[in-house]
Amino acid sequence: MQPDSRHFKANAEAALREPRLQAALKQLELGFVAGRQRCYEALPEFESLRDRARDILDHTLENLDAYLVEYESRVIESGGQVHWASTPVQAREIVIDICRAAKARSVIRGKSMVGEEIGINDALEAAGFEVTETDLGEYILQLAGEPPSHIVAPAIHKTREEISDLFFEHHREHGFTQRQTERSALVAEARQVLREKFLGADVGMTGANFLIAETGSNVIVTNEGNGDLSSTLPRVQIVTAAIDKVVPTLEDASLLLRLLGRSATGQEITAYTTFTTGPKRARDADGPGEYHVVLIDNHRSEMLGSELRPMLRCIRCGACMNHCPVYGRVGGHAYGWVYPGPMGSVLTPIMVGLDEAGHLPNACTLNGRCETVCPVKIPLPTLLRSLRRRQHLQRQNSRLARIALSLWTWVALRPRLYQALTRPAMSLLSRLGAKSGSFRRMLLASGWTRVRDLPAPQGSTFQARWQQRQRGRK
Amino acid sequence: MSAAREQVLSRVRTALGRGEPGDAQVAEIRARIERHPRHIEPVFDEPAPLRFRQKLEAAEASCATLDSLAQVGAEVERYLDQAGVAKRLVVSGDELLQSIDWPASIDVRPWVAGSDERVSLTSAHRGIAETGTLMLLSGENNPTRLNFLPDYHIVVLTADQLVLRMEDAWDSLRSCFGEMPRTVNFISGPSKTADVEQTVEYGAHGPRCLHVILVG
Amino acid sequence: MEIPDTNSPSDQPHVGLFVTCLVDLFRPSVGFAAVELLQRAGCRVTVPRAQTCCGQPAFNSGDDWHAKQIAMQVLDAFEEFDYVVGPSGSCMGTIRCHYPEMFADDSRLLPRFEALCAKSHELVSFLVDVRGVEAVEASFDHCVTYHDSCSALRELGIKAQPRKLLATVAGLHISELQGTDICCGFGGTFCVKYPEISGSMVADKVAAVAASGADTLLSGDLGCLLNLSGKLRREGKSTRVYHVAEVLANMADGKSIGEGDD
Ligand code: SF4
Repeated sequence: MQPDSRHFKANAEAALREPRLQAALKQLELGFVAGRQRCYEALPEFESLRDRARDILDHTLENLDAYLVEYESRVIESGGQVHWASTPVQAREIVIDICRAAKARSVIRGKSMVGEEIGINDALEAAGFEVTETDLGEYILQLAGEPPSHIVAPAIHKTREEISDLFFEHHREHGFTQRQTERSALVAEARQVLREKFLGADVGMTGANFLIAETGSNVIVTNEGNGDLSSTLPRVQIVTAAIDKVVPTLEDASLLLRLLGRSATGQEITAYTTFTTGPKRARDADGPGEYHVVLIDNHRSEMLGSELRPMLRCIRCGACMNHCPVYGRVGGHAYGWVYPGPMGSVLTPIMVGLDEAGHLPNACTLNGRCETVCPVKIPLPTLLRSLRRRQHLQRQNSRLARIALSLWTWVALRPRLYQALTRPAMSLLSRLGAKSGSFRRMLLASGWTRVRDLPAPQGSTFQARWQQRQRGRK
Repeated sequence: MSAAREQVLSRVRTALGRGEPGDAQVAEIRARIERHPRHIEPVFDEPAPLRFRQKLEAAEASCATLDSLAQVGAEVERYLDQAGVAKRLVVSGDELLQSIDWPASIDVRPWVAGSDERVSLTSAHRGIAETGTLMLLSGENNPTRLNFLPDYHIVVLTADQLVLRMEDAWDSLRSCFGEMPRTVNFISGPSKTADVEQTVEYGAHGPRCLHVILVG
Repeated sequence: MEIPDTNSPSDQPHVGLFVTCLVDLFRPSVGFAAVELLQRAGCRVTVPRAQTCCGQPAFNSGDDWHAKQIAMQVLDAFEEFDYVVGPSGSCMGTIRCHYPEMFADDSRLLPRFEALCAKSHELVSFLVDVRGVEAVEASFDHCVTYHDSCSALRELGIKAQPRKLLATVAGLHISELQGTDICCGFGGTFCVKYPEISGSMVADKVAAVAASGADTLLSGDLGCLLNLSGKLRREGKSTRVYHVAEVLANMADGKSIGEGDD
């Protein structure tokens, strides 16, 4: 997908004026946020699990090459194949080659964010394959021709009416001529349409929530069961996964699973958690004959070697965006690329460039709510500040902001001058604003006064009045 | 080995500030995998069968508790009657299920490729009390599709198959098989989605209904 | 060195008051309220003249070099005191959490910053947790609601302390805000860089204030208070807005933040 993070501000403002999106986003607090909170309160071990999860993942990252090689050996032993890709381009080529070699016609996909990251759908379609998303949310977006706006609930911005219109338009060719408006009827209709796709597909593509070094397994967590059908029915399975998905053992994955569902959707465990290891065994009743894993770097090794390493602990639960007041106002599309919210504001500048995504680290109040809910304790505000530091060093932030800040610090470093300047200035402002108590408009402060008044200062500065009082006492 | 593989691994190593892992490091990693240490595991007081049942029901699965395997046939009939579906079901080849006495009114067929899979009956390897989760393994007698394609999935589990946590299920898997089956499904309720207006609907792609029969 | 308040005997802990730039400029009465509360809690208070800002604007803009210059200025001005106390979770969070981070690689300065960090406190948490204050002598006949600033809440873990002391203010009744852990949209330069998003956030907060039924809004951070008061005024609401210190020091009798003569 072409990044559009450059236009964050305009996109965000448009999103704020979109009442249906605003209504959908309001649901987040009542749904995911409240659900996570219930889980949190019901599990006294939650905080110690978070600490442990962080430690396990840090240990894994510190030994990432060794664990990747272990994982690779286990996949090969179980009859699977492992392909490595540094870049999205390489990853796409590998996937297309596998599909061609298998003489495939149709590909079904279980939800995978790394698949979005490498833009696999467009590439497969351009190469002549029929691609169908099977996660209901992703399927809706495929029909609408839109990218996901949330990493867990991709179609969170879509209303029932819009979905009804989309199905009515696209399902006619499958013999569904009646417009459905009830939620259950919409789900049932999609189930029927997609069931045919599942049964007819040659290749099933999924992502991986985790890769297990101990066994060479990939783990998929879903509620719908689409990931399972994608990895069971077609004759070829392709798993696309980033290199930071590997964890050492089944026990390590079990711990992370306790955090994942709770943090993502407020579920102790999702309906389906599946560990898949290699292709169908000789005696197995079903399963694909080929099993491929594409391991993708795409700037992760670069992050590993920088202060952004903690970001690689991310288990893609979405809690940070569910709890982000900015995401909660502007939704996922405003961020302009695959990953929205706090985690996206760290990942996007790295993956598409800080010059393209310069807004993202700044469009944050650093309120820290994301960090307190992140199940793997990623210090998101600190990482966003790091990106601001990079921008500052590369002089990529706005000139006006730089000048204003330099001026302020220059004065702030000279207390006597600061006091000499602020005393008369505040007295004057106070007098001007005394009558109404606050200013509706203020020169050089239009960013402030566009949406709120500026309260007038009380009078002279504290320092001035304090010194006066001290002199009186002497 | 591919150039990309070397490139990715060497970038990772550069990032970690070292070269290829030494023997000692590899040995340490393998030892940790070998030990597969267990971590913090949530404590709960309820007896395992009660917890298992409560968690399953909280996830909108249904659960019946029977004294013996001999009652399974009647329970399945009752369930199908109540659900109002035709009394026809596909049964996986698992040994446990072969000894069930079926009432003549139910059309029971062993699974073969191409079966009509509206209702399936399978066993499970373990049931996990912590989360009300079934652990099902693929194999010669256990096609994974039977866990996902039917509208109704009925699972028979004996009480001695219940364990407390996922970690116990792994231990049991390791000691029973010594290797990972191709597919390990942890199932904790019927298929569902909240992709339409953040509101849960059941039967997204997998079974609309999950019924667990706990025996003994 | 400044002259401490003369009626304080010298065996009392010596507190350097970090006024914070926003209090200094916009709301001096909060500074006086802080002095009053500290003295009542048995502290000797000095206000160093060589203070301006804590450096957070520079730090949060990625300008570490300037942030560190300012941090060193704060260190020089405040190192000598037993405690550094300020009426802001945000500024004290910067000193406590971020100064040591900024100097993590500076083996010479780090110990000094760690020592500074260890004795720096936000005002209300200092009163309750360090000085063991159980109650205040104040009265305020209003229904109030309390906004937790994000830095107080999350960087410093302050939530119970202001509520504990407010509960001892005669006549005061607290009605809690819905979503008290959600940011008000101030965020330093964020509020002027992204005014529309900030405006939407503060609008929700102001709606929550209205829903609480309180006639007065309190908080411990002036940044949030200016934002909230500004939005309340813009919406024509008459809710009074004070810094919590003003109420605790029984000094909330003057005009509230943003309140005019008419
Ligand atoms: S950064 Fe943390 S909270 Fe956000 S998606 Fe990743 S793991 Fe979840």
